[in-house]
Amino acid sequence: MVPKIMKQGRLAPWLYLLPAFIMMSVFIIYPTFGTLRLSFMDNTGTNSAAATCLTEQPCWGVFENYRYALTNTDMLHALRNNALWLLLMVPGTIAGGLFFAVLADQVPYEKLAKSIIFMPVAISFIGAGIIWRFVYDFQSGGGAQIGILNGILVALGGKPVTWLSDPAISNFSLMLVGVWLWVGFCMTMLSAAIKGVSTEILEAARVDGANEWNVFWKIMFPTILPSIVVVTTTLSIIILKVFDVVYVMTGGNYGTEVIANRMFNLIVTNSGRSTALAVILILLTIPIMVFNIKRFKSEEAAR
Amino acid sequence: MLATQGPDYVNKIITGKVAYSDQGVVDAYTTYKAWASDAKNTVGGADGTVNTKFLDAIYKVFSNPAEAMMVKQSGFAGGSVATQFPALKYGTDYDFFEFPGVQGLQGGADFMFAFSDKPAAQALIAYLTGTTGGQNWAKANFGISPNKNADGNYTDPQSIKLSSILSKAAGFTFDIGDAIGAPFNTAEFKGVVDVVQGKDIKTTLTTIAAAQAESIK
Repeated sequence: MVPKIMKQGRLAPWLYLLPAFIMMSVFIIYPTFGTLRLSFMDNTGTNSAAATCLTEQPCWGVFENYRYALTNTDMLHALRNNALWLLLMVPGTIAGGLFFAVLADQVPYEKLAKSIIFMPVAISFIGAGIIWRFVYDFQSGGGAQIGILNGILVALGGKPVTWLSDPAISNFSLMLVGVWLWVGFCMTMLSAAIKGVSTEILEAARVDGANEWNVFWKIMFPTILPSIVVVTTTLSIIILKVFDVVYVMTGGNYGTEVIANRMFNLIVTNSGRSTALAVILILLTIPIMVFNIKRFKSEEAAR
Repeated sequence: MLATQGPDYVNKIITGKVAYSDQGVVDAYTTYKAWASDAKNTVGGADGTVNTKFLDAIYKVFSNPAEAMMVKQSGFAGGSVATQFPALKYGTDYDFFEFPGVQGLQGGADFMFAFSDKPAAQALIAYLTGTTGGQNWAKANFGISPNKNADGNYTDPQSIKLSSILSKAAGFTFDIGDAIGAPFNTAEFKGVVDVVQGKDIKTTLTTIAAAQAESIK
């Protein structure tokens, strides 16, 4: 017989949830709807976005801010660059993280190696941007190259390169900073997964004559695949919102514009367009989040 | 554009009466690109023009050996030189001259607003725009005053020269970068960089003109 005081009515769970729910409503749900509403308004947030249409120009009525977001040349650049970040920086970082995790697993000074690679994770994006601005520094004219990359190039007899302002390479220069920042995170996550691979299986494979290459691709990789998926989705969400590195290093100039930087620049002058970009970012992130949650649930169920 | 078209033209760009894709702007960009992307005229050609940091551009004139013979800059440059190279003397080691052929000057300015009709507020405005206010402004060496009464009272040789150029100027416009709204301003900055890096001038100016039309509407 359960004492009466231990019994809970139907209301009790809701009461427990209430404080969190109030906080979420005030700080997440209400602002989200506010953002959605503003994205259909003009630059001042008072009239419908349809009022900003120019005569004899294409117009999407109340979706005018979304027309800007999906057709403006700067925006198309930004969307393309975000896609580049997702397609190049995310796999690059994970490949790098995996590479370091596997290698670190096999050396005696593992802790030291991992600490060094993990260190950039502790540095803020802004700090990383400033550090790498020095790395990529380019001096015009006869002055000495103080940037380490150009310093090395010149010492080897080459010509200094404008790493950040040449539109053909500037995006890749920025992505390298992203990789540098996040590779330690990926390494840590994947290293933990590798440690979880049963040594018996690995030894059995080696005894049966499998070489390290096969051991990695046929046993280790499939076993840690769930962790790779987690890292990929987490990183994808972070990288969709990439902003700080771009803002500090190029300000979105030289062909490096990204969605979040446009959003930041527009918030002062045109809240309608800025919030439309915010909504687009949310919409792009939601599928990845849903995937993450679904996978998490199925994993819980499998336990 | 101040030399080829004059201050009225620049003012019309600021107010949107002349589109940024106008032939006068195309001509100005063509001339500028020819200068700024040629290593004969600039430190490092197009790459140098795009990558040289703001103050470094001024210092290049004074590096040893000198990398540049002159730099196009506003009145504040004298102060930057004096701070960085205290040993140099204005008038003997460095000097400035008006951009040849300009039909007017461009500059920044202080605005005076009275938010109240009280006698005290009116008295302050009257003082600052009047004879004594102008004279005292000049004596304080706080930049050039738009008040003509300040003329003849500057003590700093650079200010004396600047003020005589200003009072003789045929016209005046605000620095275009200070006078236009953010989207237009950003588009203009990007456009100048793009053109120096080799992008087509007409296409670039059409993009900037679109930003201009949006900012002004």
